[in-house]
Amino acid sequence: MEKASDLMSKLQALLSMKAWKLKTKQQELLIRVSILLLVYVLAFITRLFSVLRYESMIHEFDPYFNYRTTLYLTQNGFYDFWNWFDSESWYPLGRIIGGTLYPGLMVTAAIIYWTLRFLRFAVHIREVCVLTAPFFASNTTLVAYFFGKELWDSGAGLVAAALIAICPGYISRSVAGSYDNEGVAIFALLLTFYLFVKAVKTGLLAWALASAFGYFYMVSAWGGYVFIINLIPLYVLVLLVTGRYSMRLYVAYNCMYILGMLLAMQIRFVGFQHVQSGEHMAAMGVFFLMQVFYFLDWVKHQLNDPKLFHAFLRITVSSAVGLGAIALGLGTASGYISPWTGRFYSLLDPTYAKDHIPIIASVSEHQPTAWSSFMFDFHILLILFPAGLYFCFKRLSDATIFIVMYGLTSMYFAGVMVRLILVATPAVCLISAIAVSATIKNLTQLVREKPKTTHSGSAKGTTGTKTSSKGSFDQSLPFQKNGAIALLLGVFYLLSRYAIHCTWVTSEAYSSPSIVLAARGAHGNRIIFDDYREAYFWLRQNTPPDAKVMSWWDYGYQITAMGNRTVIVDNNTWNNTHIATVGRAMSSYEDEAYEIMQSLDVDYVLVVFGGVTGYSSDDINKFLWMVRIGGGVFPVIKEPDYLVNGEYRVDRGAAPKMLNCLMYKLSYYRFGELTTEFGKPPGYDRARGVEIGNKDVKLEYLEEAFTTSNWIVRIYKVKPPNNRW
Amino acid sequence: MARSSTAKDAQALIQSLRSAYAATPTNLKIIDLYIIFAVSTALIQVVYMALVGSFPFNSFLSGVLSCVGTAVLAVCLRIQVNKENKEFKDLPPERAFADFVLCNLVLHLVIMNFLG
Repeated sequence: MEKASDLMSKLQALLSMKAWKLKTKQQELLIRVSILLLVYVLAFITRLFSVLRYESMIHEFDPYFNYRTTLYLTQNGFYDFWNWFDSESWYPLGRIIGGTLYPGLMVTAAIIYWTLRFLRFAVHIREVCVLTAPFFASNTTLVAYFFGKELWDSGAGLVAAALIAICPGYISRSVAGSYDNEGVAIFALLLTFYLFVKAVKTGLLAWALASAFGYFYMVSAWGGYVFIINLIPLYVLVLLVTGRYSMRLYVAYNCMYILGMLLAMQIRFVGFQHVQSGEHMAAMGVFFLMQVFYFLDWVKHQLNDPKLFHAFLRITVSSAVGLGAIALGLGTASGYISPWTGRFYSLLDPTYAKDHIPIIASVSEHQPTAWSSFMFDFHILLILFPAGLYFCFKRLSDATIFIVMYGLTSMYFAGVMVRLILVATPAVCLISAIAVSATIKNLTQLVREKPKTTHSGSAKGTTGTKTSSKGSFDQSLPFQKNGAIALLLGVFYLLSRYAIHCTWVTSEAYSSPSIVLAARGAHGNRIIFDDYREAYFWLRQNTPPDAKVMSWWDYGYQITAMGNRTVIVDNNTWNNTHIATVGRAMSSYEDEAYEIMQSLDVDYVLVVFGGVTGYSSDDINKFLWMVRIGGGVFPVIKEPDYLVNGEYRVDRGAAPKMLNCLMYKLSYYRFGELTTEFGKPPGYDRARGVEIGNKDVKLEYLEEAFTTSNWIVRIYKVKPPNNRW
Repeated sequence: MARSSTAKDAQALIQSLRSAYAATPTNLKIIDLYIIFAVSTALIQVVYMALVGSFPFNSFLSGVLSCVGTAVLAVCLRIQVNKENKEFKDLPPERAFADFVLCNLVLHLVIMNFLG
């Protein structure tokens, strides 16, 4: 008995935390690290829905190209990859792959692959590619933590990491399998910004160098680096104008700019753009401005005489501005500095692409953003964002100015183009995190405070987000604590709603590979349409290895990657005329199309058709873009020919040219015999909900080669020319 | 009248600048000399480019950027080791120099790669 009690007391002593007790700081560190670790894991696993629902596969269109090039890189080594001339795409032109792609993603995946191989993990390159994006999303949370810590405090950093880990705006581009440039680019973007802010804060060359390397990685990964090279000069300019110029800023910007520019020039696709294209001139202008500014500052410091300095200022500023203007004018006039590209214009003026470049406007992710998708992608962050801006303005520093500028500019761009929500996401998460963290901190201070102390200081901070409760706070001090508790509960409720929303969005909206389609059957069971892969596998197995396949450009990457056949156009869209030729062939009568196909050596034509399954993003729905793009280069194709009273229709009332063009014929060949839905006449198109107008499609120059089980992909063989007699 | 006053201003300016500059510590003066050397090399290259042409554009760029980069990094070093700059009071000059060397190393490795 005594023995037992002795043991008990010993145990108690052990458990009483005296032996285990950590200092508060250590405890905090432990909690912080474990939270960060959990967030890191969470960011990874929340992106695995697609792997669990479907399988470990590459999604969508562009990732297939990335996958194919990565495969080539791992098989043939870096030099072959760098010098790769791809004859399987853009037939008969071909494409210089090494010089026309951002190699960052492929090299990253290949390095991960080689490392795992070196560690004797026998992984397939596909698994590495599938999981690259989630892995980098996890790393992004770490960067977000450090960035938040730099901007505000470690609490804000933690909240930022948690918010960005599950933010749908980011998940949409980084689920497992979406092996695209953006997956690593957001990591690189945030890293560059973080390191730059750090460099500005400390004024150390080492941080500036690190941010130059971050920039290099970003340039190697994604064309969105243009955002960095314009935002940072803008930020510097704002600091200069607001009188926040400092030596630290000079050190950070100049080192980052010179080294970053030099490193970026090593990427062949970017090349000399940093000194030649108009999009990069802002950075160079600010660079020279900084030199002038520094020089003036130095002279002022040396002179110590305002009158003399003013005379000096007049001379230098007028000559510097004159020289700069002359240089810019000469450069632009002689064509040395290229004007801004269409994509850049379409960012500044959202209506530009619609009028001038149909190929940009035709991509759905280049459309202006709807409010609903803001809500969908940001949820409560949209409300917290202004609150966070308030906090940032309240505690203005070089770092918070940066995040405010990043947030505001990227929000503007997100409004212009749907896909740029992605760029805004880190800023929105960080700014919202500041709001959440500052609010919670103030509220918990209120809750923990002894009732006797004055509350004026701590109550002030909460007024930002909760303006409505401000009055009740100041007047009714007795209820302050209860109010704070209620508000805290409110904040936790909001955050939990956010978490639920994010998980729901991820699982429902952003985790479908779009190469395998799923639908609900009549009994609620899941039906899988695996037609794409069926068709590409058929191509791979049943066509000659040198067969050329013509399809609309959306499917080019997939056909080359999965079908291993040569395509005429693909998603790279570098040659508008070539795409327009295909568009023209698709929208011409069969005999005219045959001539075009003969001239392009086409052996097979592939169309995507959703009439049987009700799959709405098929070629008939994209057809008007083919007409527009084709008509943009070849005026024989006129859009009104395909419309009836400005209306696009495929039923009996459709335009005669529409009913007899190649795309219509290929899509609806033999469709008139098929009953798709009970109680509807044969030839009922489920994607558009109409009975088709031309049920008796006859093909003269092509023959049906293969149609997948759900008719989603249809492949036709181009017949050889007839004998002459 | 205006012309002569500008000239006079400029003269006074140069004189006072010279007298003020004389008080600069020697190590900063050495860095200044280095900067002037780098900038003048860059200018010579630009003039040469204007005369002969910029054909291997990467070579020209790497030459000029090498000089400009060197100058900028040296200015950064100068800022950091200058005792009058309060912003860098607690940065030891050794650290500043180490950063400077590191950046120069990266700069010139990249330049060598780019030279072609």
